[in-house]
Amino acid sequence: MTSLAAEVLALTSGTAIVDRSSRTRIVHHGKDALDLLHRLSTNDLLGLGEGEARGTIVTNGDGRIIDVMTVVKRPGAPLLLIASPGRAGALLEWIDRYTFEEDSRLEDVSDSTAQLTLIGPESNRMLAALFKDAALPRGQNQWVKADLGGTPSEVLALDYLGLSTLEVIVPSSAARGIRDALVDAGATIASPAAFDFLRVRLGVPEFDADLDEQNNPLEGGLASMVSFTKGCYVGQEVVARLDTYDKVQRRIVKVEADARLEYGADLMDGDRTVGAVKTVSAMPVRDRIEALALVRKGSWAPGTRLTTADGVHVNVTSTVDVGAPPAS
Amino acid sequence: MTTQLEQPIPINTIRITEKAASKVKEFARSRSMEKFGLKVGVKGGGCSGLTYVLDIVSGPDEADKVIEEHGLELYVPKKSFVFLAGTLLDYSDGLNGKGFVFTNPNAKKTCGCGTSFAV
Repeated sequence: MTSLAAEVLALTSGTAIVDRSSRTRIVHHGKDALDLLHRLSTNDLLGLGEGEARGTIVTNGDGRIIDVMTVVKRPGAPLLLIASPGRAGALLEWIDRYTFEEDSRLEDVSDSTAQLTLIGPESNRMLAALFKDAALPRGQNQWVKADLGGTPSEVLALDYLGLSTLEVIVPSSAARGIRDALVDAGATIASPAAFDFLRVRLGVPEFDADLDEQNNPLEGGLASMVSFTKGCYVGQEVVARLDTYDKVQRRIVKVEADARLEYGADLMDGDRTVGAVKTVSAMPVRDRIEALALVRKGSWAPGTRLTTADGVHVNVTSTVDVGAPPAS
Repeated sequence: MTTQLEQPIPINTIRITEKAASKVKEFARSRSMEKFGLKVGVKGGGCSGLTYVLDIVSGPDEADKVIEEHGLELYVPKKSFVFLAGTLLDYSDGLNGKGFVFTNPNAKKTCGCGTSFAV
């Protein structure tokens, strides 16, 4: 069994640890923080309960994605925002631009904290067994403050677009100790390639890899993070019109190919360029290479046969439209 | 129906029509407020990016620009003033009235309901 195969096995049937410390983590202080984010992003955040997490998308006035993030309402503490890697500057600048009289202050804690993502059906049991006295989340999208063997930690059970994880957030200096303890207890360290394999299998796009600031949420299959009833937010009219009039012109799909695919390769439908390959899975499934791709309307239906410029045959297997029902 | 002023509004101020000022005083009286002014600002959010904020308050905050017209003081926060300079605040009543209406030369687009704008 290859190393990657072992990691994938742990992800799907045991406990795997993916170090996702590179993600952006921001503490959002102030009594107006949640109201401000509610006005600047797609999901209904005012209904967020204590200790609850919810995904939302910060969009610009054209309805395009600034970033996809998770907002955690921590009891007795400022909000925690978990966003894509390298997006702290963009988010801080964007939110500050729209801050006027609000009591709101953002603090980038990405460098001072680490984020270990536990994935696999044994994750909960292993964490509970290892840290017997620690309080752990009791349901999906729930956050708790925990003492993990003397390390002040935060544990967040996330259902991110259908991908279930336990996010363990600790001071950077404590990450190695927590990780080593989990490995000693039987967890497998999984690489980003293994995590991407799972992501592609489940059809979960990521900002930067699969989507960028030229895309809107509906192109990314992220309607589960959009409230169509909450009223105004920046970009709301555009997103609502795209949905109401079915005007989405391209979208993320899952594809499979009979040969190697390159990230960014053009996809052709006949002699027309209709899309591009995005995240490619590093391990084939039943001899087929799976990937995510961004494909134009008219060529995105499951069963559509596309090709790359190199002549690789690519089939669209499904559109991406994932996650739990919208918050409202 | 809203009012159009004959002269453009200087960019170092905002203006309010007599009708809008009267309406503010009417609201303040209904709340039994004796000393009051109108806070005029913007906040982030709203489908076009920025939203107008109106509030009847007892006095200005330290950094507010104070403008008086038709016997009413307007208090405009410093950061909001950049986006409101040259604006006319009017009041539209009647069956098709929209309430308080902003005519803002800085707004490059507004949303369908008129409460949000972009610069």
